Order: sequence, then C-alpha cells, then structure tokens
Amino acid sequence: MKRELIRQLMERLWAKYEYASILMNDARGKRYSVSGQGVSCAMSKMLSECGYVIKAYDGRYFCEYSFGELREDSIDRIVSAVGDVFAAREKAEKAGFQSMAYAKPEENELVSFTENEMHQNPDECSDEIIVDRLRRIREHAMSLDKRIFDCRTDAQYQIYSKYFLSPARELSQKLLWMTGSYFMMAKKGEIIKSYYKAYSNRDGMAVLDKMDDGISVTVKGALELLDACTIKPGEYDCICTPEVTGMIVHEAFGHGVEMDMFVKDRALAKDYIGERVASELVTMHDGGKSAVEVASYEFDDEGVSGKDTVIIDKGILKSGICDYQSAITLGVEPTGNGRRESYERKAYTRMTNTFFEGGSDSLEDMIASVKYGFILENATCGMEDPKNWGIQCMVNMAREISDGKLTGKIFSPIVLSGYVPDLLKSISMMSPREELCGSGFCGKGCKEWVKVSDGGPYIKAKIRLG
Amino acid sequence: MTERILDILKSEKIEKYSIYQERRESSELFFVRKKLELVRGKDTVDVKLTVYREFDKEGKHCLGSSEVFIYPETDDEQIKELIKSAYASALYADNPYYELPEPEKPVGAGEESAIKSCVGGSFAGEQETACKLSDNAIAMAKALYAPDTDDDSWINSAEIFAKRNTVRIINCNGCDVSYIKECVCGEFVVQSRLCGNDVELFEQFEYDGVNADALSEKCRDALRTVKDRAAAVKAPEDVNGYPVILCDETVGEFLGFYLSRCNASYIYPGYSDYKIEKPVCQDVSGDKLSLFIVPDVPYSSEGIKKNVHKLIDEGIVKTFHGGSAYSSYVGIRPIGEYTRIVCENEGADDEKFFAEPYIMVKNFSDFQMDAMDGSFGGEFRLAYLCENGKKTALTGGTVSGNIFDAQKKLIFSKKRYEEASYTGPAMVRIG
Repeated sequence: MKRELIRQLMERLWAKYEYASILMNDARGKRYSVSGQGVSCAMSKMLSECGYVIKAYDGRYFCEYSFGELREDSIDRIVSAVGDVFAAREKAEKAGFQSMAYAKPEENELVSFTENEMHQNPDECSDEIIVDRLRRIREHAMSLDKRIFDCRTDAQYQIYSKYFLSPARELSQKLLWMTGSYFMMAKKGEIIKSYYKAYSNRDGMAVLDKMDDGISVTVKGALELLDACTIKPGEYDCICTPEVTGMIVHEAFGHGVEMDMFVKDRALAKDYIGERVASELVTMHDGGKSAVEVASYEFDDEGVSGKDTVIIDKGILKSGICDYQSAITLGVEPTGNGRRESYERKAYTRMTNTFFEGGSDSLEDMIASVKYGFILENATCGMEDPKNWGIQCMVNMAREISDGKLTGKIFSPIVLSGYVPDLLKSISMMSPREELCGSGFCGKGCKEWVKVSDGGPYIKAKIRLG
Repeated sequence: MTERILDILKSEKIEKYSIYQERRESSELFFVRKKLELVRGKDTVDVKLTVYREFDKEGKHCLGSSEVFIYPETDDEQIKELIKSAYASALYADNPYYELPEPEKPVGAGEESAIKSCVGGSFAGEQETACKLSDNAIAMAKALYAPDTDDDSWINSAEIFAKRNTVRIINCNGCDVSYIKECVCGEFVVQSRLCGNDVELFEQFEYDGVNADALSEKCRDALRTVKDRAAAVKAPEDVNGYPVILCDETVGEFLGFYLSRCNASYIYPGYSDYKIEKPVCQDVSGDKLSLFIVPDVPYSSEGIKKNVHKLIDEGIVKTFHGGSAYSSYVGIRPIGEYTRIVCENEGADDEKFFAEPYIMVKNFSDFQMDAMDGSFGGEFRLAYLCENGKKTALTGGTVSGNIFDAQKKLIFSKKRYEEASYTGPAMVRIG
C-alpha cells in the first residue's frame, strides 16, 4: 500500500479544502461453482477491486471522486479531477439546482490497525480442494433421489484490506469472509422446483465442513415442492424459521431505520423513536460489532468505528442506524453504518449484521400452539418499503400445521405482505437461540450491493400470506 | 496495461486467453427534493483476463478457464502470479472443449487501430469527457425536474448517473475490438400526501444518452400515478380471480422469462427444454409471441459482434443466444448474450384488451419472475380494479401466477413502451 503517496495527495487536498478523506480498498474475491452448467473457479468481479475514493468538503458542500491509480506523477491530475467535480456542482447550481449545505465534519483522533485471524485462509489453499469438496457434495445430493435433476454447489470468499485517512484518523483493517451454498433442483414436466441452503463464516475453509449436514434436508425440500399447492390468501398464525425471521428483520424493518431515509423523509420510523413498534419479546440489533459474521468490521467506509446498535429494545424503537453525512444533517452521532458497494460508489446508510435476540420458547411448543397455520421456510427475496412499512417478502415453502401438528402438506410459492408493526406486535413466541447467516448481498432500492448477515430465532406471528 | 499483460502472457507461454479492458467514467448527481446532496465523479479502469487451458481428463477433451482481475496498480510480478494462478485454476474447471471466437476480420500486424465502434459517444480527451458527462447529467436533471410543479405530488429524491464506458476486447485468435458506450441512468422517488396518506413510488430509468423528453414523460406519469396511490384503498385479501394486466417495465421483466429460457446456458443443462423451430407452448388461444433480441453494446464480452436477432416468431423459437462455450455445447453459432428485448406483437384493440373485469397493476414493490418454475408475482403498491364500469385504485395486495399456464392466453396492448431494456407493448393481459 502506498501510504506515503496517499499522505502526499491528502496534504495537497487538506491545503485546498476544509476537510478531505480517502478510502482505499484492495479486495480479492473468488467464486467456485459446480453444476450441470459446468465447473467455474475464478476471481469474482463483484468481490474484487483496487482503488480509491476521495471525499472533500469546501466549507459548505461535499463532493467525491473515485479513481483507480495513484502515482507520484498523477497527484496533480487527481487534485484537478476533484476540482472538476466541485466545478460540476457549480454548473448544476447555475442550471437552477441548489446544494445542501453541511457543517464541517468533526472527528475525534483515532489510529487503528486490525486484521482478523485467518485460521483457514482459502487464498492459501489449492482450488482443487475446494472444487473437489463442491463436486462431492453435488454427487452425494444427486445420488439421493433420481428426481434431483441438478444441484448447484457454490463457495465464495473475499479478503479485503481497507485504509482510511483523514485529518484526524488513520485506520486500516484486513478481513476475510467465506460462504457456501447448494441449490437443489427437482423437475416435474417442464417445471423445475428448487430449494437451497447456505452457510457463512469468518473462519474461511471451515464453512465447507458444515455443508455436509444439510444435504439430505435440502434434497427433501426440493422434492416436497414438486407437489406443493397454491395457498389461499389470508392472515395466518405462522412460525418463521431463523432465515425467514432474518428476512423480516432485514427487509421489513431494518431498511426502515436506515437514517439516510430519515433525511429524505422516506421512513415512517422517524416518527416512532421511543414508541412501541413490536411485541415486548422483540430486541433487535445491528452493527459491525453486533455479531461475528460476514458484515463485521472495525470501521465503516467513512472511517467511523463499527458498533452494536440496539434498534428495538423490548418492543420499543430506540435508534436508527446512520452514515456520517446523514448524521451531520440530522445532528446525531453516526453509528458506523456508512457503506459503499465499492470504492466506485457513494456511501449510504447500510445494515451489517442484523438480528432479533432469542426468546425462551421451544419450537415444539410453538408448533403445538398453532390451531391452523404454517411454518414458513426458505426465504427467497424481499423488498423494503420504509415509507409505508409495507411487507414484501417471498418464501419458498409453507408447511401446514393443523391442531398443533404438521400435516405434511406443502404450499409454494408464498408472498408475505401486510403492515410491519402489525406483524412485529403480533410476535407471541420466540425460540432461545438466534442463528445468523450471511450468504447474500443487500441492495438499496435495486442496486448498491453490500455483504450483510441477518437472522434471529424461530418466531411465531400473525402474517398475511398470498 | 493491456500491452504489459500481453507481454507477460507471451513470456509465460500462455497460448489461449481473452482480455476485456473497461474504463468507466461517470458524473453522478444525488438529490434530496430539489437540492443536490452530493456530486460525484469517477474515472477507473480494470482488466478481466481469462486464461484458458486445453487438457484431457478421463477421456474427455476439456477447455478449462479461469478469470483474474488486473488493476492499474498491479505490478508485473503480481500479474505474473495472477496468470500462473489462473492457469492452475483452469485445470479444475474441466468443461468440454470449445473454440474461442474468431475476429470478424483479421487485424494485420502493426495495424494500430483496431475495429472501432461507437454507441452514443466518441473517443475524447479526459477533461472534455468529464465536462460532457456532467453536462449530460445536468441536462437529464433538468428534464426530470421539469414536470415537478404540482403541490399534490413531487420528487422526493433522485440519483442521476451519466456514464461512459470505453471497452477493448482482445483474444488469442486475433480478435481486437473497441467501443464506447454512453448512457444516462438513475432512479427517482415521487411522493404525495393527498387524502391524508403519505405515500411514495420508486422509478428507474436508463437511456442510451440524453433523452430529456422520455425522462420528463416518465416523471410526469409517476407524479400522476403517486397521487392515485395516495387515494388508493387497501386491496381485498384475494384478487387472484381477476385477469391481470401488467404494465411498462414489468412487461419486460415478465417477457424476460423467454430470454432466460432461450439462453444456451439454460438449454445445455436442461433447465430449458426449448428447441429451435418448436413452439414455446401448445394450445395458444391468445397472442402468439414475437420477440427480438437487440444489442446493448456492439460486442459481447468475448468479442462476438452483436446484432438484432429474431428470438421467437409467432410463438416459434428461432434462435438461442449465449457465449461461445454454451453455444458450442448446444451446437449453435455463438451470437453473444443479450439482455434487451423488443416485443413485436401489435396488440389487440382496446375493447378486447380492456374487457372488464380486470386488475391492472401499475407499480409492484418488487416483481419476481422465476425462469425455472415459471412463477411470477409480487406485492403491488398501486393497481386499478376495473369492474362494472368502476375503476378503483388499490394498494397493498398481491398477484401471482405461473407463466406456463398464462402464456396460452396472453393479450398485448396497442399502446407501446420504450426504454433501454425493453421496447414493445406497454401492457400484457393475462387471462
């Protein structure tokens, strides 16, 4: 890393602007896949990058410039390019667009250099070992039932180094995460039904060891879907598996407490701080230090330390999560949630590791308590609606419960809808242990993908299904 | 950077390779209401290097490949290590052998200029580009905000990205092509507080350059629509019994099912059972589908020249699209992968198309179309239920269905829709 050169560049910018910071990200990620489509073993564009982003403040306004190369002879050009961005802002002002003025950023002095322990670093392991593991999982899955038409097994990892420098802060961190998943496909006529299971951790190759355990359950899930029925829309007593709880936590509520949405008047949660928004069983966390999972970090992409933010405490909405620039506007402390998809993108308020704490009910008691309802499992997708707290989530499967027992009848696909606080206030039971998984990426709107984990315990709630 | 990589490939005796170099420049405007929250600029470049390795394994002739990414700050030693590692990785990707693309026309040694192409842009200097991009972004911002004059609905926030990508693709067979692709894309949120309801709608856009009229019209329509959402009533629990009309970009997402099913990467493993010159479905009582695929860029990432192709004609599959590997596996000439579709169906007259009852979904929170099991649907933020001569705006309901049933009775509208990823009928009626 060119720390001396970065400092030279920043000295130039600090002389010119009231504030300037730089983030360098050097990330290397690899993706492995074995399926009927073939074998893939390659660096991933989404997980790999190397470049810089400067954020500068001229006394009233912020501008940013992203670039890929820093050399001694390119410093003048970069300083000039930052000036061009401020010039573009002035041009927009002349075209009739005013700018939002900001107070000068104030930072406490902080110097920190961290590296997470990489016990089983996949970067130091032969690709052959990873591909062979995935191949064996696929072969085993397909041998379990001839109706399993294909099994796609994947693994991916990322190792990234970030360096942040501002007038008061010099921070660096090196982190690793790894995920694995399989996607079982069962075919009936021209329709292919699929069921997946995913794993994630911060211990590298150890994630592959966990994958053997879930193969037969996942195969069974795909086969059960072949005979699934269409559900009659309505509100039902539902038990959500931890990954469905995670989707509700993340999509239905988490996006609504991203405080850049408060700045835009796009989040209903803004008016509910201190109010009851969920049953008293519910305590919700988010933060780079709320759990050890794929979105854990020491500092965010604006040089703010990661935290463990309690968003809901026993049903009461306590706090949102906030990036640095939004925090200036709102007059609050940033929570270390300013994240960028890459150095090429803007920082927004983003979730990290988001979950409900566990409760005290057993899953058996939860099922026994349902007169008629469903267990919802295999979360597939969700979309936020922070303005109206509408729920838009989909799960792959609903297992019917009648008189406290599973009937064996399966419904699919299932759309969850309704009003978020109604759902959260209806939570009446929770299992003890929260489970988090970080196999996916979270978008803001339809872009800006960042790695997140979410989860919680099994929960029982009333949910509108369709 | 490319020349350094070519030299190292030669010194490492790597015979089969493909290089995709992309420079990405942009000017980006972020608005909260009508005020600029942030202005961003970008100028980055990277290279995707694909290294291929020919070998035999258990009687199968294979061509394995692996990709690495190279950045301006990657030094020669690091490039050498990356190439070695990719060559080693390629051995574990034991996929059947296929031929890499040949150049459209041979480029002679010493010929400085490659086959150049240009989509909405021209090769220009650094300063000039930054200036042009910010001009484009500001022009589109003015177009977006022009219709925002009403107190009943307004733009809540917007993001505008004026982009310019300069791409060069080289492979070991002598392919060497370049092009510039410009576009203006983004998103905006409109808001209304009519009838005591504070509601919003989210919209996205993408045009191959400055298209002020189209963006103004899109915004005008969104500002009208969000007022309807504010006045909408809660949808009944079950609206699935009504024929459904999908609108605008959702029609493109719905028809994207056929784009996936005609992709050679779906055909090869059997995810799709489509066959050339065979119908996509039997017993069609509605409109027979006619789809074209059109290029978004002049060359695929492998350097294959992209053209307009008939994908489905009157319900009959005419071609598959895909890269060289899967195209070779399914025995077709590779034409590259496509993401843009044009639907040619001319549509029914309004009397037939709008026969009541029906539910017209104007805005989904997140429409899903599963190309594997054919299921589609989602929660809608605004729909109109038209029944007995009465039109009721609804919100918060869900519609769902399966395209394997729906495709037998599709009816397209006469009204057209045009955006980068989809051009064709503005509406499709299902059932």
